[in-house]
Amino acid sequence: MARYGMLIDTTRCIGCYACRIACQNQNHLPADVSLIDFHEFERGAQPCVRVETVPTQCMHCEDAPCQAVCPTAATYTDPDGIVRIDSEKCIGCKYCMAACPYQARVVDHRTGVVGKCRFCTLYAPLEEGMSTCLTACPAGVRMFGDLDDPESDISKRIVETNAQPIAGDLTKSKIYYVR
Amino acid sequence: MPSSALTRRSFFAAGAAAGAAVAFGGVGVGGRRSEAFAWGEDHVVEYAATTCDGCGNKCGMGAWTQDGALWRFMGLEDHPFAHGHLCVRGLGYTAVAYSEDRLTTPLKNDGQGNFSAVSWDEAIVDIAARIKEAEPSRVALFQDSRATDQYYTQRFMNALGSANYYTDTVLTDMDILTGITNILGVFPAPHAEGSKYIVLLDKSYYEGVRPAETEEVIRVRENGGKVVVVDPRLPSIGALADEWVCVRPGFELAFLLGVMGHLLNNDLYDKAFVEANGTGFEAFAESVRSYDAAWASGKTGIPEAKIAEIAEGLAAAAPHCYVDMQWAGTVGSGYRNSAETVRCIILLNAMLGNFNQEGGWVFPLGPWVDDSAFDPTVFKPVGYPQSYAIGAGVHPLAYMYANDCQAAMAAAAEGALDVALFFGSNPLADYPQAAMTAQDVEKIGFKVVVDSFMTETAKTADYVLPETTYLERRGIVGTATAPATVATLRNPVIDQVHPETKPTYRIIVDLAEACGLGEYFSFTLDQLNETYCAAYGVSYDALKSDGLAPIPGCELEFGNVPAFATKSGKIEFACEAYATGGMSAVPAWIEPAVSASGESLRLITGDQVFQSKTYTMASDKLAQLAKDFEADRVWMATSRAAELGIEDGDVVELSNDSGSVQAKVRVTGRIHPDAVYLPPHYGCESEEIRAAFGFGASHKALVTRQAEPESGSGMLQEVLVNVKKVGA
Amino acid sequence: MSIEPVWGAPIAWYLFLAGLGAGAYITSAFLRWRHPEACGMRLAGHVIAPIAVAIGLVLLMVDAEAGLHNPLRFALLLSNFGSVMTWGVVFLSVFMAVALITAALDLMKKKVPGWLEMAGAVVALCVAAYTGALLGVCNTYPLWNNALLPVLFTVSALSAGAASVLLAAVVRHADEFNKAGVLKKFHFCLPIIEMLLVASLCFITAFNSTAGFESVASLVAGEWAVWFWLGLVFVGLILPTVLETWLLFFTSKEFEESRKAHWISFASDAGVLVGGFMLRYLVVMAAVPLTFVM
Repeated sequence: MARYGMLIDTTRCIGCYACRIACQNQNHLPADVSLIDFHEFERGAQPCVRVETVPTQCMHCEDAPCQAVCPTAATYTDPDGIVRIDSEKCIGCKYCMAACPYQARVVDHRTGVVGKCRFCTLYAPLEEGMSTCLTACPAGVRMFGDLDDPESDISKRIVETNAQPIAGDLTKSKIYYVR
Repeated sequence: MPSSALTRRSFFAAGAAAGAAVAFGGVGVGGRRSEAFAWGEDHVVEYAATTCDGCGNKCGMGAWTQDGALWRFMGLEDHPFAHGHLCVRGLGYTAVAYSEDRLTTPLKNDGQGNFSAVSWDEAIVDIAARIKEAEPSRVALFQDSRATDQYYTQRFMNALGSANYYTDTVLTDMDILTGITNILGVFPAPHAEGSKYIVLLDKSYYEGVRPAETEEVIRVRENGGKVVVVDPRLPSIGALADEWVCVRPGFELAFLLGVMGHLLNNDLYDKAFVEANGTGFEAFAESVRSYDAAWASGKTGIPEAKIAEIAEGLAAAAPHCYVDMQWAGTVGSGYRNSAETVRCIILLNAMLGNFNQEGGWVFPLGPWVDDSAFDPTVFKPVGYPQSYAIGAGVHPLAYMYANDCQAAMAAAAEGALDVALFFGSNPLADYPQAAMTAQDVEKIGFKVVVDSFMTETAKTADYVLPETTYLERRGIVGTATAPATVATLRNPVIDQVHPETKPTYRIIVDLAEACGLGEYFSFTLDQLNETYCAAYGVSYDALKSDGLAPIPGCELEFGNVPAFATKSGKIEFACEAYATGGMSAVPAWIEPAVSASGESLRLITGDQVFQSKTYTMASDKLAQLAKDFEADRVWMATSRAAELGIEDGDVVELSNDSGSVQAKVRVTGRIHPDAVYLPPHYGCESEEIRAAFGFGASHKALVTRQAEPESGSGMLQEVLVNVKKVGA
Repeated sequence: MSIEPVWGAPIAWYLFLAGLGAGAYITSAFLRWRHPEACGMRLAGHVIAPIAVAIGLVLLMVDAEAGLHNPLRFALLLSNFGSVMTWGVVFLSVFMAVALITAALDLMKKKVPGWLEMAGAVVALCVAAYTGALLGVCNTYPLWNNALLPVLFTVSALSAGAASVLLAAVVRHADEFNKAGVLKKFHFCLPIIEMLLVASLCFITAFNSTAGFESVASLVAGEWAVWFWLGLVFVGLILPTVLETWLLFFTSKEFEESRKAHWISFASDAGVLVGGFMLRYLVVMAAVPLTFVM
């Protein structure tokens, strides 16, 4: 089984939000439900100012706090390491939202079910024209692949760039950041 | 209609469960699970290649539908502006097709501002009667810079005998058009790929860079090249640059003169190139030599050493380098000295000898189409109006093919217009001095607005005609000029959402017939497109299925010197047209019209990366983005805010003679202390556009209607506002 | 994007009512032990307990919208025994069953078995503590994620439960009210302990992290300050303490047993209930999560 993860290179991110809209389109989300959030940081003072944008979403934690607290076991981790939600088990109690350190979960107000990123980009190679956070990004900020495969592009790039999870080993997240 | 239907692969059929939100059973997992936000299965997925309508670039766009409904979008791989990607605006603007606020039927105003539905026939007959009644010179047609179906709209005005056809050129690209036509006579484009040194000047005004450009800029740096952003405001693409050089707004010209002076004084320019291809270089050099880096530093606030460093960096990288000229940006319509700024960008690039060089400025080849391509028995020659357009000839340097919409508004104020047709144009929101523009539009005898939404201008119209969106219709064959120029075509992606809506060209044909001008429109859209295809040497069928096709013979050869279609046939380092147009024959410093001090700051603006003018706010997805990230805030420099006792999140009032608005402040290091930035997208006053209504402040309420005397350009950033903290 | 609180008023009501119900049951058990003659008050506690918890559970289900639309999904609530909420469901279910049987027996004037009431009191204590632990395990919120919260919520639950029984007594069993001196003394102590716990929570949370500081700042000097000082501290804690101190220690026995004094006591108990709800509401709303993206 694979252990899927993502690399987000914030040094390439221009903070354009294209990934959010692409994700909304691909996943039939209404305008006010977004699975990707953005954190903008301005560093330095004039004349030396840099802007860093950090997109965040479900980190697919190996120690997923959302899964730990879910009373109906609607949240589960599949054998490929992807944290998923069984929408037919979710009662919408929002306990997972309180538990997630990354505020990565949102209520789909159409159904009351809580949702989040589910690495849909995994299926991009299988289907033509997927418009995901990965494929839509004009700057090539994101990379997706198997963290357990030492030969995968993502594994190599994590080593090359010393990419780290956003909050260290807090939840053993599988999204790695180049900053 | 969309072609190449494909159903979902059998892969997705595995592990399915019943219910509305059915999805993958986790691959390899037993048991049934359904997932939030899954796509479902057993749907009919169709694909169409078309063009985007988020801005004037019209990037190639692949669109997928699911069971006939819009689903997802990607840039076309072979489109030179897209390279497989769309920008956020293009991805999100698609939501307008299904907006619940769309106009669905023709509407007639009872004169009191109440609209009631009428039939197309009734509307067209009534409108045509008013047009026929009016003197042609007292009829005007307005479009925005996207100019949908321009072949039809312009032809209609020509057939009518009116020259009053307006786009918003004076508010966007007037000075660029003026500069290029007079100095070069041929249109340049940046070749970022393969560049070793790029100066991105004025990117902040038009943040929505072409998607392909983002990737190219990254590649430049990966290949060891340098990218410097010179701008009063750090734009989003600045995150990819080596550095941001903060220039005092309105003094970009001084920066350019300083760089050119430094090149001249240190013999760092391409002598062979300017000698072979330029005229008047001696006079030019004599004038420009007096501006050096030290002088420019005093004007721009940029350290002298930095200006010299950039000049030397460019010279070292020449000819694989360029100074960018941003279309739809400040340099085209921002300041009192914009015409001069544009000229200096052009001439600086010429000094670097980068024309048609890898990584320099290239001059893409476009197909040549003249009247002979059009069969006169099908396309009845229409001739040209006998009188000039309202506002023509006032500004001696103005680009001759673009009329002055601001002059038209001023004339309307004097009662010069009996009939105005607004096709996708919303002057009340997008033209300077909103309050005055509203009064002027009021004085137009009879107004028709063609739009998909009840815009501010539509609310003042006598008739409002519902337009189909770009996703529901075929367009006219166009081109995207690039090193390998392609023909492009807008194709329908979905069936018409509202049966009573019509595309612009259809409305024009109906109007023409009712006006007795049907003979000029006896061809079909297909015939027009076939004609263009024949002239370009591309297949119409290919365009219908692929959205684009390479145009044979339009591939650029690097190293060739372009043919300069100027008076002299050369690059005009000294330009007679500029001299007769009221400027100096050679570049010289021109002071900006206003200067900031204390609480009186220069108001600057510029498109945000996810918006364009005010029309993109009709998309609920783009509007929600703006709301989620409080994009309506006014930017103020950290140092200036401290001086004025303003803190991040405070509400301030911005006011001047034109109007006053309130906005929340974003205190940031990303802007020059002389300036405050207000985005031009917000402050929608039409409650019928629910996504946009009531959010943010109107930039155009504060901008003066004014013009650069020589070119007529709108000087949108020559505006001062007083900034006062509300409740202080 | 600004961060919205995960839960709102319905969950605050639920936490409050579940605690109140548990407290009322424990109050009845206490009365059986120390004031066996106060049958009317005991019955009041037995009736209040299941009703309060039931209303709370309805609110919980209304807030859990996906479950509300598909009620069968609530059957899945026992799927994950690693979740505090699952344990809460267990406690609440058992408590509801015990509380309903107790109320039914009492209403039918049958003797409630001592072991049942004892077991019920233990489960009630679990319910009261659970309402704090539910929030307490969310380690992203410093205002919640500390050992004080379950204790504070339990003390507040006991206080609110006793207040509800005493309120009923003022209205319907004035004679019993006068004799329940031990209960009143205990009840008098609870807001004082609560005050100590609230102060400790604020002090410690404020020094825990930036998010903790922001949470406490929004309580004591920010968005929620008026509610905090007026609703929780003054009406919910100080007012009952002052009134009860006066009644218990500074008035004559005659006055204490007068109708006037009863209504003063009524006001004090109503204040306790207001404070009980405000506590849950403020803790739910004012919690600011830790920032991991910086």
